Amino acid sequence: MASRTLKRYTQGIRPIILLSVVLLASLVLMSEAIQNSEQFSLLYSWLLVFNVFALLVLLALIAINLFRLVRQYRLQAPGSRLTARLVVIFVSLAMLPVMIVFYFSLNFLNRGIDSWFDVHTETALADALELTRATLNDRKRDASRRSERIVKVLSGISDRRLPLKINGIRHNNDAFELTVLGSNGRIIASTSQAVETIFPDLPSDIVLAQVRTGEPYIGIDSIEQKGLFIRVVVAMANPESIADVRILQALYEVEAQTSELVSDVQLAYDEYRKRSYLRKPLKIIFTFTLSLVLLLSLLTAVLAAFLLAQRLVAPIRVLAIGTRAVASGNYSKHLPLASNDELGFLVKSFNDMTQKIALTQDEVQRSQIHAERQRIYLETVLGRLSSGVLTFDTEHTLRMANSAANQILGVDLVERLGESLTMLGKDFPHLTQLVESILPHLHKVDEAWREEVTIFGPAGRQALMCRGSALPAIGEDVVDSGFVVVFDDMTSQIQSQRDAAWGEVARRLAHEIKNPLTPIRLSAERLRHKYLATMDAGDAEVLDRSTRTIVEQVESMQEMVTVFSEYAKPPKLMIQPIDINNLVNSVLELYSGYKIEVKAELAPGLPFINADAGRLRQVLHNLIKNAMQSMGGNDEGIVVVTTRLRNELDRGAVEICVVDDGAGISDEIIEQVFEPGVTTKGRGSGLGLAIVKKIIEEHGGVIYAKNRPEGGASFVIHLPVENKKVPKRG
Amino acid sequence: MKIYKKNLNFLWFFISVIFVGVAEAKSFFIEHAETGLIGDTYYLDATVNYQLSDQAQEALLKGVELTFELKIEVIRKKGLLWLFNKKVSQSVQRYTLKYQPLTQQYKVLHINSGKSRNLPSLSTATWILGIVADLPLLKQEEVNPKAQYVVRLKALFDIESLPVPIRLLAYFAPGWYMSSDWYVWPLEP
Repeated sequence: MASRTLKRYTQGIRPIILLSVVLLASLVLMSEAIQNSEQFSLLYSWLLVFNVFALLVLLALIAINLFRLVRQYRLQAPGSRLTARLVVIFVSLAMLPVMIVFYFSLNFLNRGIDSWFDVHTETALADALELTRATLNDRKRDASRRSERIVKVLSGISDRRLPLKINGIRHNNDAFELTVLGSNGRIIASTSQAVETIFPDLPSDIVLAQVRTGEPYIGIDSIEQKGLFIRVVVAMANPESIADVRILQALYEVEAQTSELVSDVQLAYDEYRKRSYLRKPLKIIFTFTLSLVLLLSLLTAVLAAFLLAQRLVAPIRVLAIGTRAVASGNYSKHLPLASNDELGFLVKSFNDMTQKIALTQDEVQRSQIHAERQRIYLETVLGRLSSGVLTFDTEHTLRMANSAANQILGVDLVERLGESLTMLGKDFPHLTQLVESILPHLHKVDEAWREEVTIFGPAGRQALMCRGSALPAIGEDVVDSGFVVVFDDMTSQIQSQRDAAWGEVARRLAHEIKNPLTPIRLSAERLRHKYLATMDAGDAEVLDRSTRTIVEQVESMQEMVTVFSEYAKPPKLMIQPIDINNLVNSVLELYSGYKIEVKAELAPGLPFINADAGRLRQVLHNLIKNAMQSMGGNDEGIVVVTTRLRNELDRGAVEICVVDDGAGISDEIIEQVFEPGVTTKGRGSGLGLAIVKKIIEEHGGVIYAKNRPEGGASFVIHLPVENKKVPKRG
Repeated sequence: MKIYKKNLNFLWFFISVIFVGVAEAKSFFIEHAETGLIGDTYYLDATVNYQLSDQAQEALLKGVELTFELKIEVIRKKGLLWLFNKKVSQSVQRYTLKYQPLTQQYKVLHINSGKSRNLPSLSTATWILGIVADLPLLKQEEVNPKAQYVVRLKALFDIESLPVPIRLLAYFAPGWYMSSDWYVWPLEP
């Protein structure tokens, strides 16, 4: 509060007004002092010092303001150019009239002072003085004559009788005062017209000394409170001693009127001579004072110009700063309200505008936050969906893809947002079928569609069930309109249905075939037993071969039925924690005597998995036998079983690979290799790998087959790990 | 007021020396000064020789009244360094000198006492101006007999008493800076 008050009184226009008033007062006093005003004359030098100091202060203030303005001008500060322009205009407006007034004032001053003096006046005054002096000289001569008469009279009177006679003598000679002194200056007798006079007005030592030398003194003296007198001091004889002299002083009064006139003439002459002498200094000091006044006025005007320009430009500068702030996005800028004029109204309007913009901005931000939350929520929901979701705008540009879509299609579509659907088809050939299926529907705005699409992706053949519809436009914003495509990977579902169908087929087949097989075999054996011995050698041989074939084929069919029934059998797993490496080793020991080498490459420290050890052994036997059979009698082949931990997979898994260097799997059947009935072997049931897959899936794992680049096939099993901790080995 | 005036004189003199190179002219000389104890009072007798510059004489004849000052100080010495000295008494005697054209006389006025004298010539006037006789200085009781005292005297011309028009020019003219050196002597009965 105090600092604000101080600021109000030290800045702005108030100090300039105060300074101007003080300077004006000072200049008035100086003017009075120059005109010989006794009161202010003593102050003149101080006033001069003050004004010169004020001049320096003003110069310093102007220099500071000028420096500040130049710096702001160079920095292109808001309002600096306008301030500079206003300062130049104000200074020009102030300078021109002041300089004109100064020029004419100087001329008038010099002429005015010169007009005070002229030869005639000086001569007249000198003549008047001379006349006065002549008049007084006449009076002095008259006084001298009268004094000579008095001396004659007094010369015959002794010191003792002088006091008695002197008053009469004074009266007779019309003297104001008579005093007779001894040679030593002692008063012998004295008389005065003024009765109140006790002591006579004595001559000075110098006058006495002069008179003692014999030279009389006649002069005009002004005696205080009495007026102008003619003083005559002469030496006269002492009748009582020839060697000694007496001194007479006679004072003759100059008439009051004459005295007054004499004083006036002397005063006028004295004053005129003094003024005449001071004429040149007077001109100098008047010129100096006028110049000082001019300079002070001009500098005050310049300073006022600076301050006024700054004051005028201040709201504009503030507005410019505010505009810049708004342009840079700062809507909270509140400009100070400097005045109530039009500029103040402008500032107020600006503040209202920024306030409204700020409120709108806040609202927009809140909406953005809300929209962002909605978007995150939608993304979360879409991310949790098992169905793939794609959205396209009206230009068929991909706008959104959820994680399920990425997973199903095996492409990071988030990185491809903004690309057209056609471009996606070109960049990813396995999506061509999908693109070709979707694209026609994106031209139909009014109807929802549904279509099953098969693609061949990195994970193999995938059956996708696609559904789509057009998105309605929100308001008039065409950008928000477009299409949505939702698809599900139906591959596993179809596979499960197929597996279930195959299981049912196998179960019915086993049931239907198994029943007649035993009577067939028994009938064949009975025929053999009853008729073989009775037949001749030729027929016996035919019967023997036929019945044997029947029995062998029935046995083969029984084996097949067993396998079928095995495939169709519902799982009865004996789940327990097992060490997969031990399991692999125990299986491989059975193949130690084989010509084909079967070796293990096992990663140490694998975690236990929950599984049925017997079923897993069956899996391994099937895969190893399958691998051996794929070598087609090549005894130098090698089968390798590897294990390792795959932490990078979802939930973690133990990987078991059975790798051979055989002929590999043909491309035609590699996709259906795990389906029942698919086999490359002449006498295979086609259920071996189907059972393997069934067992692995019963354990919650996955299996797939791939050909190795260096030749041979590789069957890869992933079994989930429930507890990743490595158990302590006993 | 006297202090301000002293400061102002010093200020102007300083400015003049700096900017114009004006040096103080030693136009006045104190020829003789002594003190004497009469009764219980110390009295001062002194003779000052005033030699007016041409500028001052011209101004005098043209009607300008000149003012002179005689500064008298009694100082008690307290040590070797002047810093510890103490002024026991100080006074300024002021005189004016004016030419009267009618009578062609010079009027000497002692402002302190109000006494004046008319003198026929300038030399007589300055002579009379320079005579100081029986001027009471200080009482005996003010003097500590065990202490040492000195009296110092200085005569100078008072520029500040000049008419304003000439005063400004006088500050920058060497002819107007007239003064004597300090005349110092021990206070003796």
